[in-house]
Amino acid sequence: MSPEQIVQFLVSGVTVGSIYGLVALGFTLVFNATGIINFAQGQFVMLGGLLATTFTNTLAWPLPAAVVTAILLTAVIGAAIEVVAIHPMRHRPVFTLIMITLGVSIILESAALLLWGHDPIFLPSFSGDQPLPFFGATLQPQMLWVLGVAVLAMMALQFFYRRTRLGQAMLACSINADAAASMGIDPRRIVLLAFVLAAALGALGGVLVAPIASTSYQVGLLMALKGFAAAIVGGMGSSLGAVIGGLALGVVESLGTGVVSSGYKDGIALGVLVVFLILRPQGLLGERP
Amino acid sequence: MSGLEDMGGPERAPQSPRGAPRRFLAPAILVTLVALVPLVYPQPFVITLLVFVGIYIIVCTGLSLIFGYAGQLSLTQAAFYGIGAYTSALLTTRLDVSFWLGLVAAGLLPGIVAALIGAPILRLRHYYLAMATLAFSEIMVVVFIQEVDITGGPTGITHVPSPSVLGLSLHTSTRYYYLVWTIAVLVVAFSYNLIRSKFGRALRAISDNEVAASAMGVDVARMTSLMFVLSAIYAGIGGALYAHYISFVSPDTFSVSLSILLVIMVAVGGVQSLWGAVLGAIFITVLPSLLGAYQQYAMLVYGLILVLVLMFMPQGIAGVGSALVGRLRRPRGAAATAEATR
Repeated sequence: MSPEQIVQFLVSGVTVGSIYGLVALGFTLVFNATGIINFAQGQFVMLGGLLATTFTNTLAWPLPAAVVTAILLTAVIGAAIEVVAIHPMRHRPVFTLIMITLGVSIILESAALLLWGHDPIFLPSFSGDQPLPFFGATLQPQMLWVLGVAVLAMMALQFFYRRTRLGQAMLACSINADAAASMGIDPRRIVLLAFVLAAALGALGGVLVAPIASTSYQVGLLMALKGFAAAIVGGMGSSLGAVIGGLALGVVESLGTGVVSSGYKDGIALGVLVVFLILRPQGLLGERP
Repeated sequence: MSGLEDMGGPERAPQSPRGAPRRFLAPAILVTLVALVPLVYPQPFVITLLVFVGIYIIVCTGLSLIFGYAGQLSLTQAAFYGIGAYTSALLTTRLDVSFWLGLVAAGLLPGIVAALIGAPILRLRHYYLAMATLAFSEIMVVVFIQEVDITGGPTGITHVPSPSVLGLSLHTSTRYYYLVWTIAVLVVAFSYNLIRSKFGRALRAISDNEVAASAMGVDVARMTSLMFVLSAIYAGIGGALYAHYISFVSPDTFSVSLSILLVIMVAVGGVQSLWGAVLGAIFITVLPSLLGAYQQYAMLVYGLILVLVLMFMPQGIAGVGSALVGRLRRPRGAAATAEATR
């Protein structure tokens, strides 16, 4: 590979890695609040992207309104899932919870197929498609949007955790739910909030990436696997780990594509997941329990 | 249903007055039913549907063993099903190997793969095991698509021959039906005897309480791994039967969706018994044809049924069935006891 090619692969790796990071943050939020891994997490990416395309392409809304509405609507769907399917089942065995979230994932995916059809749909780029030169590689303006907004979202989440009462309550719950409850924190609210935030982060990733990679009804499950891979690589439960894991996974996948072949892209990311689960389940940042 | 229930537990196998064990009655009735169906319903679409039911029963029985008995969730059966289908298709089309040898190989190769990946992967639990097996399923789809020289890539392998038994070609659906269901009955019978053996009780102990089972001297890792291998062998055989029926294989058949669908069959049928897997395979396979003009809603309905069953009938269809039978029986049993005391 020429240096230009390496730069190109790095740039696309970091871009797609930011999306994985957002999905991984969603996994982390729900995991910390409930101990549940939500297999439907990737469907929020699909929903965000597809809802936004409907608002812009079909209803001809201005892009900002479409993007914000899509994210809010997905967040409401996230809340609905928690209320209807997760909360009543929270004391059931792990197997049941896995199957429930898989069931929700299937429902969302097949509903999306009926509503939006098979074909991949693009969202308009946020600020044009004029490529920018970057150290011999080319940068799509949308890539800057992905990076910038993803970084902002992650900083906002940190601010929320450290500076707001609700964020502190959420952190307290993830450290010790019983102690937090005895201090007057309502765990019910925290869990609901975790699902809302996780859905919103997924949808944000969905609208950011849809102008570059397009979106379709079937992107969700693979996105869930890769977002989970990012969370595992970084160390499940850690927000910083989720971000670092996402970026690392994106870069490895992108460079691996250059070395092996583009057809093996998904195989590489999932291979990383399996290897980490087997050899280092605590992730890069975690300590061996 | 009452026939099935007779086989529900080792403690309940009463001898009829003439000494013939009653527990052979129910299997005999079932096998007779299976044999008679094509004579009563000879319509091609019914037979085709039932061929698929038989294939899925074979795969789901394996899933039930690893899932309901060893307590581990495997979301990777489509990968083994695919490996079996490709193995047999390749051997019969390229090397002119006989169908039967191909079928054996189609069971063995997934079994070997399962043994290799099982050792590290089965140390994982719960969510991690589910994700790892799901990832493996997706990785195999990538391999099926990319290894064009072996698998034929996205187009797959065509002209997979139909088998013949003793010179009798099984090219018609009805003949193939008997082949598939003979194997399905053998697989269920073998699995049923396996779980009633000492080995099966050890398995049941693992799914009830792994730590306790381990403390009682059950080699949990070895047992689980053996069940994983057996489930892969069943899936591989199912895959080969699929390939020779449809006469071609292509990668999109063996997608992650199939892995999930197979688990849905077992979950909806009921994880507590082998009959759950059988009932689930029948129900989920037949369902789309019941939807008639609304077949495009099949996946949506599967998802809804899965969630509703888990919420409101966690024992699945088989659980509801045996509860109903139990309720029907109890009064009779009570009356008999009362008479005996008198």
